[in-house]
Amino acid sequence: MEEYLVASDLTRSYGGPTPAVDGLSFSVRRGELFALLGPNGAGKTTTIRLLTGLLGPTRGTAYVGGLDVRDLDAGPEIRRHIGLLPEAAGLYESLTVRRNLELFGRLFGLSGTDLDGRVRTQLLSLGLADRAEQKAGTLSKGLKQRLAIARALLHEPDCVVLDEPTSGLDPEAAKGVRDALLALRASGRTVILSTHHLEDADRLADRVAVIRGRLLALDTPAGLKERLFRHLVAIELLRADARAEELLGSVEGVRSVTREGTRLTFEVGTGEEIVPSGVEALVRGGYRVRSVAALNPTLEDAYLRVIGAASTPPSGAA
Amino acid sequence: MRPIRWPLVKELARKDLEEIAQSRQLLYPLFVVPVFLTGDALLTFSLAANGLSTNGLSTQSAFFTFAEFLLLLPVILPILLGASSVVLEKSNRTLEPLLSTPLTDTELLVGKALAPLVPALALTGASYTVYSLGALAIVNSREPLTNLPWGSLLLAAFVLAPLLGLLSTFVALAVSTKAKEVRSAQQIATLLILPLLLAVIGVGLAVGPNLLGQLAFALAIAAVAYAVLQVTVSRFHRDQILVAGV
Repeated sequence: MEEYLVASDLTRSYGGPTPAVDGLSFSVRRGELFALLGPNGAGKTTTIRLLTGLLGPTRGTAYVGGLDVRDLDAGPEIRRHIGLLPEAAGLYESLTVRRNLELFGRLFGLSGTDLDGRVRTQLLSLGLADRAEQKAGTLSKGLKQRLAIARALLHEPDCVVLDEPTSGLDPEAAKGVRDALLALRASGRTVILSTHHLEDADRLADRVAVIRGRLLALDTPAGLKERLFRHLVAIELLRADARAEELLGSVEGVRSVTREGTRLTFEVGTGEEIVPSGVEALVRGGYRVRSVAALNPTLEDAYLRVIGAASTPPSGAA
Repeated sequence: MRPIRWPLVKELARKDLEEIAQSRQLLYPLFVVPVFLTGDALLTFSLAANGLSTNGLSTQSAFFTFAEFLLLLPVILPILLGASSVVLEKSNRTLEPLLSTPLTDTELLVGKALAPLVPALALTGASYTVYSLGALAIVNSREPLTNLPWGSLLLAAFVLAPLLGLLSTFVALAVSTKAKEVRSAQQIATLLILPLLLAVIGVGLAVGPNLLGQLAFALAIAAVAYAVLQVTVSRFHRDQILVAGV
């Protein structure tokens, strides 16, 4: 698949000792739904601003549809190809819903019947037709978010960039936004999504990038889980203690044993005999096994492991 | 340099004007200040023309002095409207969507400058018209109208007022791009424009209805406006606007 957006050693510093974003390199394919994950202050918004040409990089660059974001002359053209939904809807609240859309349509060079048609289409498709003459400030948070999405889509961009689109929304409104995201992906647009909602990323994204200033991991959600956990197994005992943990850990192929109450959780590498061997070791050690189950790690498990590994100081560090 | 796309600039200015029209906080002073200044100028001129002036101003001097007095309008009004222009977009979080449109930095600057400048100059022009008509009515029966220094009035209305309006607008925008909140932007811009207000009053009194003196003042204002424009342009980059005040 053709690469639509390429970040190469993308770095941005605000003058502090640590850059907000440091040496990010990745690419997003045309038609892909790509999620940026990371804790607060990880540089997700800065990355989005760099990719959309709102901020200039301190080092490195990004290419959007082949255009270099460092090229100031290319800025208007880059922005014409991108529909941005910032973290805050950022609507002109004293203007009507229709006027908000018309304003941005005109700023993107639309006019006449073309603009009228597109405004009508967006109002209908996002369920805002009956609110068109209402002032934007009087809308609920969910409806404001929908209007902001309509605004981002009005000029029919190739790429839509959404910064925390479901943040602060009630479940119903969040579902509306997720549906809109799925519709965007179905329409073949490239979508870049920054989110804290790992379930959303797991369900919607083709690939995820975990960042914390630097790029920590980049894979499909399934690939990331597979890579980090391989197979996760839980053995429920009638009674468990540190010795049981040790016994299980001594079996070849068993890794990362953790104990929580009477439950032992561990990862297994490849090999069909590892789980039976583990169970056998426990039974021989006098433990009674209540159940054995394969666990499916979530993207949240993978994310926390990636972030946790990045937070752990290297051995020997003070 | 990429040519300015005027339909986009006009749309941005129109949006700002629509917001001004819906804000009582901005709208009231926008009309109260010109009405107050014009009324005051006419009243004081009327007193002078009727020989009731306490400082013994001649009708001609009084006519010019109060015409200069109206030059405060193109200084005050753009500050009132322009100082909040960018910082309000920041505090309302509308700046990022606006900066993500294909508008260039120059188009943004011009659009943002037009919104405070147009109403300020329109109201200044209206004030000069009302003042001239009022002055005509006051002196009509007493002395020939040609005795009044019309050249000075025209120079003030058509040269000095637009130059002062531009200068004031650029100061307001330069402050607005760097400020963190609306109130501080207005206070800082007012503080910066204070020397200009004093200069307008001082030069008006010192030069009098002297066309050459007025032209020299106009040239000085043009030079300062150009310098301030350079500073404003150098600060008006979307990267800096977005990061400033954060």
